[in-house]
Amino acid sequence: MSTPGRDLRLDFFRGLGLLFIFVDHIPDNAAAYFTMANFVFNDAAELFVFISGYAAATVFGGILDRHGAPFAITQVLKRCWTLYVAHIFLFVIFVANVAYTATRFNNPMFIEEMNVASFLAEPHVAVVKALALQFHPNFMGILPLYIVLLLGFALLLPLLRVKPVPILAGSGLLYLAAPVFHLNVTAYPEGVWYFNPLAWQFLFVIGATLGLAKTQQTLRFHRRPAIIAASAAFLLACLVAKTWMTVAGFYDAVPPGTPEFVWLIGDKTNLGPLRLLNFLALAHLAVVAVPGNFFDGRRGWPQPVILCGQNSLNIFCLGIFLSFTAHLVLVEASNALAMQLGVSAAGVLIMIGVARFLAWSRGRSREPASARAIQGGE
Amino acid sequence: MNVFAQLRGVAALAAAMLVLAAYAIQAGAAVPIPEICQVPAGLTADDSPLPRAAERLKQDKALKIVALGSSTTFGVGASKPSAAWPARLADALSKQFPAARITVVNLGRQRQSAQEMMERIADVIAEKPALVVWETGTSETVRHLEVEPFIATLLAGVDRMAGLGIDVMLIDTQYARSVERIINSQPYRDAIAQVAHMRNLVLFPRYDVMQWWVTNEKMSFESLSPAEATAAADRVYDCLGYLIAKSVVHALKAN
Repeated sequence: MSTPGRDLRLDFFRGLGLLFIFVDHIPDNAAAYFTMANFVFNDAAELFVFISGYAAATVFGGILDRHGAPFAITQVLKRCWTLYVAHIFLFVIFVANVAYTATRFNNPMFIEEMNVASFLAEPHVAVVKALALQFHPNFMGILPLYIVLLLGFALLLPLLRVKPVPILAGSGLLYLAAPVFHLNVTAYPEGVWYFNPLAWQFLFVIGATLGLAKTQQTLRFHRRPAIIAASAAFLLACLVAKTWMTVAGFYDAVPPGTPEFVWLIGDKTNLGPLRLLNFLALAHLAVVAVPGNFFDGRRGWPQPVILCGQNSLNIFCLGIFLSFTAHLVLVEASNALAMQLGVSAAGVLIMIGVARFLAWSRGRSREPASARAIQGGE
Repeated sequence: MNVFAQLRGVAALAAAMLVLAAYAIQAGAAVPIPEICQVPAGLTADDSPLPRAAERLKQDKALKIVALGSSTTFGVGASKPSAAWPARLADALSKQFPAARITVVNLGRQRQSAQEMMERIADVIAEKPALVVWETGTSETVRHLEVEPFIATLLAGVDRMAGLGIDVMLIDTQYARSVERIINSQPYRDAIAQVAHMRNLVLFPRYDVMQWWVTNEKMSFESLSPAEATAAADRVYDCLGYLIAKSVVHALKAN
């Protein structure tokens, strides 16, 4: 099922992130109160991007060491292609839904809302924009981000192997410059990318740098008492503040007259510093608290989550599709509390079921020829 | 527990219900709301005040309101401009305060974001209103604009007007089942609620009200002929006028 030496913590936390992304993406869903976004300033998006960077570095870094840069780069590009096809698949589902609704629903009072279907009037433009990754409707922003980050990573990987410090510094500078100079990628029909790739690349590069680093070296740093204390204190402050905001009603807890710039430190589009630091503190403490072999050979509750993480692309796409379906059920049937919790639970069970099936199917197909090691690099 | 204690409990409960009923009748008499428009009182309950508007109403025996908003404030889908909710609000408030001069100026313009409305804030201020009813969030939802700058824009607008002695009341997005299938207004509705919380503003939850009408089969916006759609728009705007008036009256008393 898993390649030996694989860090199951990555799979577990990525799986958890995918389940959170599914639940968070159902609008007006009470179950979303149980995901991390209510207790800390970051959400599953940070988790997903960081682990993707880390996992990409371990998988493709290994290939780089064994087979050299050209082969490693082609493997990254193949992965990009798979993600790209998945994105287009989700996009087609979105278009089908909008086209169906726009054709049947014709109520002038909602003319402004129906403007969301205006791209249907110029399919020749819309399709090209979608292919160019410039058109990402509701909740479809994270896959284009992942594709672009991985494309950049294909070029960066050989450099990151030899000179991580300047690359990390450059990445950090770009992260800081993006909000200051309003650097972002334009989107279609208007606006900019919801996940600014020029800002979010920093978290991916941090993950990739850590993924390539010698574990012993980084662990020595991670286990320094002063560093642990700093992370714990910051995380505790974030935990208390955000939980209070959730309980007291969002920003009710923020005193009146708070300067506007304070809002920007929690900005999701540009990965505001509060979100970034909160996530790094969380990740650091998770690494320290959960030993590397914690999940090895462990059955029981972590197993289904790990399986989701090991099939991340399939389960991610499935999650987006399911959150969309769950939303339809809530709109068409009933949005009662029991329904909200019910569709959320059903979705999680389906994701776990499919992950199990995929693992079983992959295990079977490996039996005759065990030499297909690269395929494990989800 | 003995029987008499139980009876006392029941009597106390009955008395409390009588008081509540009497209160409800009084409140109902304040702004008579057509039956088709009615929603549970808890849905629109909001105890935030309108201090400046209340002061002006008392002093000048007049209340000038500007309706700032996008397509639905403008009145899209209605049979005539006087059927838009700002005009219906003026009508409902005039019935409530027959001795006062009530004016509602409609500054709704189609397909505008809060940012675009802020660009013509001078027009709003030039009217010298006591109250601005600000309807927003739809354009942001459709165009998938960023949430944090939306909050900042709303705060800046509210503070600017407060500095000039103008109260602000907020209205969120509208609801229809088909629309919910293809857009997600939740982040923007949350943002509007946050701003209302932060500045202690009255929020009229249009989305919840319309969703209640649809869920309880009072109204439907699906598969209507053009004539039916116009009638439905007139009815919605009329009901919104009544219910917003009710919220305004409640807030004027809350000072």
